[in-house]
Amino acid sequence: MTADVDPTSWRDTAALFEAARAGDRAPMNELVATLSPLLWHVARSEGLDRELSQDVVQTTWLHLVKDMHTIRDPRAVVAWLITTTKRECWRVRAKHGHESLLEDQQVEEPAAPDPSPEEIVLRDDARRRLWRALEQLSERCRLLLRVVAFVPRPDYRVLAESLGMAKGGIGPTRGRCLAKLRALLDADEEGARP
Amino acid sequence: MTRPDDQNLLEGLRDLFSVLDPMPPDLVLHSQFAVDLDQLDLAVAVPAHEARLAGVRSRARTRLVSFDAPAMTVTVELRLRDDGTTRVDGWLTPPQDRTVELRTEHGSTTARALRGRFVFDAVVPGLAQIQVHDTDGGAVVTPAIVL
Repeated sequence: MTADVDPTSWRDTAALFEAARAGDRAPMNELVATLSPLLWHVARSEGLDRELSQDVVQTTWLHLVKDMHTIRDPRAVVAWLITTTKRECWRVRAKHGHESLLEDQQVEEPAAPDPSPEEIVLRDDARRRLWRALEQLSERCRLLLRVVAFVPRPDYRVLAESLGMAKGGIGPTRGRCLAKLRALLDADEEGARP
Repeated sequence: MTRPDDQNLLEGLRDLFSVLDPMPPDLVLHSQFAVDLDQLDLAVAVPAHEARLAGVRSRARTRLVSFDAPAMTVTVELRLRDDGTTRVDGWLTPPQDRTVELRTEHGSTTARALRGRFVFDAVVPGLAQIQVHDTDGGAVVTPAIVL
């Protein structure tokens, strides 16, 4: 079972955005398909429930159409979308108060995937170990990694501000969080050995 | 720089969160429908407090939902009829005379709002979007509504 988004299919979002801005429907649809999972996880990381997160993602795309000609650098489109999603989340939270927040931060048991039984066990075990390791990270690292995992690769560099990092800090912060996660996973593996 | 094992780890994270908290499958389609606009001078109408798009998504026979734009609120009552179509009764607040467009996957119909009130009588099931046009070529635009 793979993620919904195949990273190898990620095209240059700046090029997609420029084509969409010129009025082409197909690149706009591709931009929406490519980046909606990212915006979904941004909204969920901001603590909104599933229903309001859907509203926020849709509203963010409408804002993009409205403001697309004010974005000077097309390479900034991912950062712009993340910032707008967060702003929409704050607006919704201010309006809905606690009702909008997740009542239960607990994560459900992973749904059963379909490949071979062995693979399932291994994969589920890998997921469980990853989840256990994540739980030991700081909240800041956990939320950052959750969002960063859905960012198209070439877009890392322009993301500093929209992810609330100091300029240029995203790479190192992301690197540090990943290193910590890897260390926790390694330690877990050591501990599991007989 | 991104190391190969970083990529594996990020893939693992993507997989994990896609399984634990999957994006609803319809969200991409709904968003693509919402932004499929000829209208570029637009004001975004966001689902209002009482409404929440839950109302917009649910299959109850009668739903009341409203959307807030900077200069007006668009409220619609959606009533499912026995033949499966939906009657849409709408109000613009503050009341004003406008052209209202109901865009569906099958095309657009327009109605005249008089003192803010407008009606679309028999709308086929599917996605819909309301656009309230002003005389300067601008419009207030809602997200996709599931009828």
